[in-house]
Amino acid sequence: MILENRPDEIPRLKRYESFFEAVTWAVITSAYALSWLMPDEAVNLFLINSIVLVATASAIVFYRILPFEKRTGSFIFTFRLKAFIIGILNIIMISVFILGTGGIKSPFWYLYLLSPLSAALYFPSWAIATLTTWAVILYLITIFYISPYLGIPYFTTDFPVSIFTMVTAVFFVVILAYSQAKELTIESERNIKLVNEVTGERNKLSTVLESVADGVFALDYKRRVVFINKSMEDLLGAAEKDLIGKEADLVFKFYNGDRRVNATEFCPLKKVANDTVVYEGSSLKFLNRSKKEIFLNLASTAPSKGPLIDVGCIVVIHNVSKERELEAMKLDFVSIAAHELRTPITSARGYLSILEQELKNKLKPEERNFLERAQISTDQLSSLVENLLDVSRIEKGAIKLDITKIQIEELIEKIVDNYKEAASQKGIALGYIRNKIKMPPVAIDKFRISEVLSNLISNAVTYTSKGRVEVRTSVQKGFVVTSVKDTGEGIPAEAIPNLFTKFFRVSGLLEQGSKGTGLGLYISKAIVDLHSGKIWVESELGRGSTFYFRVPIHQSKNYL
Amino acid sequence: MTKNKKILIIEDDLFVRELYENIFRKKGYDVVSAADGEEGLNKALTEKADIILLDIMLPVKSGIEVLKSLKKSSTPSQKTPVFLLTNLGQESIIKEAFRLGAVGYLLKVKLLPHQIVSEVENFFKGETNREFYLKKLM
Repeated sequence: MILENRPDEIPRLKRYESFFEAVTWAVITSAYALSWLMPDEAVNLFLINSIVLVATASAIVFYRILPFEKRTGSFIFTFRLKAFIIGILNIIMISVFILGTGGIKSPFWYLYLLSPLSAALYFPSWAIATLTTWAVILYLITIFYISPYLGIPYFTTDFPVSIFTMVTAVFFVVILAYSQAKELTIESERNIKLVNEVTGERNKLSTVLESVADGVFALDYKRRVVFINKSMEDLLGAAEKDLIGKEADLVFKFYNGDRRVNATEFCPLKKVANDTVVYEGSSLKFLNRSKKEIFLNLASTAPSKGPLIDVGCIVVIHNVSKERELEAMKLDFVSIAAHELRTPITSARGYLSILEQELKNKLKPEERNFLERAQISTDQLSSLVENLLDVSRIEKGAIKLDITKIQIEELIEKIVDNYKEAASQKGIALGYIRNKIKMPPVAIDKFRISEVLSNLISNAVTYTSKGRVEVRTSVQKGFVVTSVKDTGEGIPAEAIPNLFTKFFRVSGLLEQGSKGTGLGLYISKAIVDLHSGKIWVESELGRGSTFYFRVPIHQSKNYL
Repeated sequence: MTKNKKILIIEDDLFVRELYENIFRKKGYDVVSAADGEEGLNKALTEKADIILLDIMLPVKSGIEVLKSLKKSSTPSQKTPVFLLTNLGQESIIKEAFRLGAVGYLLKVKLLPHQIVSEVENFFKGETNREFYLKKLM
């Protein structure tokens, strides 16, 4: 389009638009009328010619106002088609006009060149050729057949008339050329506007997508990259132009642990009715451009309109390395702090124990009590630190079970023995009441489950002031259930849901000088969960509580 | 009376070092001690101890390095049994220590001084605790 590159010309042309439109038609009509005033016999033909001329001109005007790209049923009225019709109508009009002004001798026959000329501006070659052929054929028909047949007289070549007609012809050509250019202007303007709108919209969208902090990319139905935004480019350390069209598996290498997540997995090319999330991965591993391991969450959507635009999936990636780092730092801080605390605790406990051994019999009862309290406190401090370390290991996922085939009765017997003394000191009966049937062997980590048992039994002994603590075992659908029943205070129903959370302690019990760290049950639950077991509690206020946990029975195929 | 056993304690924390020196002396051991890895290694190579208690987080040279150098040396001290006595409980470190030839791994914070003495005595009586500690400490 000629004016596409000259958008600055448009306002100037627009200003004269209506004026030139009016003048064009005034001139066409007056020139035509004038040509009929000269000869004498043509009055009868004047009417017919006028009708043809006005009808053609109206048709041209009609087609001009008709917006292009108008759909009528299945027929699409394109701009090209419209312009082509206008071109043909122009030729008809010019033919009639030339016919009326002297056929071959008409000074206006140059107008025939106008249509092919204007067509050349915005039509493809086939259209120009067609219009030129049409013009030539019509011209020949006009001169050789129609004019003589209608008996139209040749124009006299009197000097003033010649000058007048030549000037009119030139003016007419200019006006028509302008008219075509205007048509062109309107269309180009419309196109430019449209192009601007579309690119503006596109720019807006792509700017938004480009600037999103998360990585975004899209794959087509052959799982090749069709879109990739800036953040994703930065992650990959490659430029868009090198990535577009590449196969996803060559570009994106995500790992879930050690397992590669291929494009077939995160972009399954599902046909969906509504936009659907087809894959979600959290903390996937990914090597960035500096070969640094980063972690990201990935969400892949299959667009419902995907097949129309050949987009199989749109993938959004969120870098979670920072969060993971912070989490790791938090855990490391706890474990470093705990490790640093171990040395002074070792020292304090050690010296206190030596002191106790040496002075045992020399101290007054009150002084012995003081020493005992100091020992209890350092022991408490020690178990708090150890529990914190356990929690940090659990949360880091650093605890690995060493599962073996174990007879749980023996384990329970041992742990119960450890607490017999503490129980009898408080005047509580503590015992393991064996089931009549022998328990099947269980698949557990002996030391970890010992921790759980110690924890439950020590809690039961601590929180029971009179009565008994009983440990029992039973078999239940592939599991061995161990229960620790006490006759203590019981746990309020509202506290039960929080019982196995970190640092939770049942209020009211604290005042009794309990020694808990609030971590024991949390750790126990984590350990039991690692065994694919379950831990739970039943309790009645004032009557006592029973803690249960179950661990899987050892299967012969269970060769862990 | 049999000759006293000689024990080398390599521990950087003064209080903890003196705590163990004290308890072992009372039990009739000849005690030699060192406060960093370098010094510890030198004494290990020259003192002809019957057993070495070795910490891991040590200045100058870490306990693991000391253990490596000791086991690589061509002196008779190469065969001196080494107990790691530390507060580091990571499985990887424990495994590494046993791989390098330690005979025991004791976690300071979990044991009172007299319990450490019993561990050492049990070792001399021929009771190995390796398996137990390997698991207990994880």
